[in-house]
Amino acid sequence: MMSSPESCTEFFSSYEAREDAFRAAVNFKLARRYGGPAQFWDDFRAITSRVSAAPETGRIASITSNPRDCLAFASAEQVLSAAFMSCDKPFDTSLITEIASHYGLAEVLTQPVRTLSGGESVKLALAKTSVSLASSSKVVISSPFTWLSPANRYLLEEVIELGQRQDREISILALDGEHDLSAAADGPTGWSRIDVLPFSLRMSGVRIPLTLSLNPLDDAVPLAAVTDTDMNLESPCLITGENGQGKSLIARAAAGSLALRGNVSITRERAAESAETRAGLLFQDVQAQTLMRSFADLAAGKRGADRDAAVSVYNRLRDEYNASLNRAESSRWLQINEFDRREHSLLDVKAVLTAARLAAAPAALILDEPDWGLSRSSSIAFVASVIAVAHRMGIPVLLISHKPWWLPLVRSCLAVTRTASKAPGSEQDPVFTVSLQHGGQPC
Amino acid sequence: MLNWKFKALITWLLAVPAFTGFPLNVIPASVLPGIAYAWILYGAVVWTAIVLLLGRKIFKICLVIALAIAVPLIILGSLVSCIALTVTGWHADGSVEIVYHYAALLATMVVVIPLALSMVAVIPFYKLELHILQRTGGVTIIQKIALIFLRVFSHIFYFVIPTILEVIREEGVFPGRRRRGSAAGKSRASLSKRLKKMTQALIHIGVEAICSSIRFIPLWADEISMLPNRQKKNRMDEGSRTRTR
Repeated sequence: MMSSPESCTEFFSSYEAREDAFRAAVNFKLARRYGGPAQFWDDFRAITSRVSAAPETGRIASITSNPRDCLAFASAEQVLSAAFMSCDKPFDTSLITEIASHYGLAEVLTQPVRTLSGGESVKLALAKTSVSLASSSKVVISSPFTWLSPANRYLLEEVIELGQRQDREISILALDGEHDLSAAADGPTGWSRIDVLPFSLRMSGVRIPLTLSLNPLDDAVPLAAVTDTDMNLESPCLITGENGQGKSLIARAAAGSLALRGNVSITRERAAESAETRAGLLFQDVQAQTLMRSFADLAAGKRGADRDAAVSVYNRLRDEYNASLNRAESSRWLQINEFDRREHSLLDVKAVLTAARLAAAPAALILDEPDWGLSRSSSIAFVASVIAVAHRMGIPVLLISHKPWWLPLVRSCLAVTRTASKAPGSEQDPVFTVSLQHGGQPC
Repeated sequence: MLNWKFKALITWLLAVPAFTGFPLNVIPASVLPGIAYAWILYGAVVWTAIVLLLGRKIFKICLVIALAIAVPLIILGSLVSCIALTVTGWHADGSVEIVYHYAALLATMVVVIPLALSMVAVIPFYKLELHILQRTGGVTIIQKIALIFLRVFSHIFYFVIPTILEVIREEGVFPGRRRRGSAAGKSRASLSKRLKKMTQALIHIGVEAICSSIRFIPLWADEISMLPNRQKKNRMDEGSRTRTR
């Protein structure tokens, strides 16, 4: 009888504990970049010193907490071909096509992994694992409930069922409450009391090169288009959609972190004419956003904004957060002057980056998958505290998530959908178009 | 349509004169001291070959990269030479020599750099990788090393660098990139502070780039090492099949 994903899951209260467990499960083949440069090099030396050690018994198939990281080849076709080859199965194009179709990857089979969306990377990692099961003794998956939308959860269940049929050990490492699909209950701070903050979002003629920022030396650069949009919205606003629809693309376009053609602007109500029209963005992978800077440097603020202002915002965020949670949980949140003296947590990193952004008075603050790396309770308290502080500063907040947790909290909702172009006629034709639809009410 | 092997052969053969000097050095006539007519002709042949074999788009990219490397080098180099000449005693012959030297260097770089880049660009790494992974009989150790090299290279080029650029753009890491009119843009720090901040930012970016680039190598190496080794017997079998055909 098939067991549910939850029954194979070990839950952890913090990102740090889960990450340590994952690294142990994959025999420490992953260095902790998050721990800072010194920790990184210690880990890397330890990994390389084990190269000459005796080979491990039994192969472990793994999916990292950012599924793209575990893909060792350049395209979906190559990843699946390698998985077949590793299992000593004869290469068969029709089998690869069949698996790709099943996981919704048929259209992107030959596309480089670098151009796949987060959702497609997730599906590819699961497809690869389903093939690798034949040659693995164990499967370890890190926080799948965070990166897999509810509609695609059946793919994870299929992989688990397949593994159990083949007597493989399945181990899922997740954060507390990560799998919970129920809407978050009103917290002590009272979500119903959160003020509504009107703002408008305008996008016109937006074309985004899918290689993110660089032109490759080979083919023409594929383009994504965003349909022209002019919407009046209310904060907190939820940008939602299935895996791979382009939610993060919209966020990065609004924050000006992508090289793009066209105009994107967010206007706050009653904002001065000279006010910033770009949003501040908290990346899903906040580790990459730190650029390994010390915490003092992170708190120094964005675009030269005052460090003291960032520290003040940070302290207000901490107070709000502490009000939402009990003392045991809130004690993890560091005082700003402790940053470089104590080991910090992912929550501290998120808080400092958020404070630095808010202190720079952006047009809006976008939190891309704010639950990534946080337990459910911690994530809800963090988002509630960010909204409370940002609204007091007159800054709208947009959440990007496919989790239903936020539904009682948000005041407007944007659904993101992606449609593939049938046959791009020239290099300038987009390969797909992302559309935003205003629901008016939380969807 | 020429296949990639033929294109690669032509491109690599074109590099022989640049690296050996033959037959360019045989013809002594020069436009300027250090720039032979033969070199100009050779440059024209190289540029035409790149356009015909790899297309205009790749030629443009190669040329832009060449100019991006050559121009700052020429300007800074000639500036340093002029300062040195002024310190040791300015004379007209010396300044003419500097002009000739850097003109020759520029002429060399705008030919050699696009040629070197096209020698790499002509190889269809994607197809080669796919060919390795779809053949029967396993993978040799050299092919495994090549697979890891390609994975790390593509990770750096298409993931690490774009992610860092995204952070730089979103955050305005460099002090000079502030937006006009923004609150932060109004307060202008002193030059020394800005230089210090920029140096710090470059160090952070360097550390981040190195750590991000190598972080997943053990995980990928493990995955690639799982590919079956190509046995001598398999190679002999494939060889005999080829001969039979």
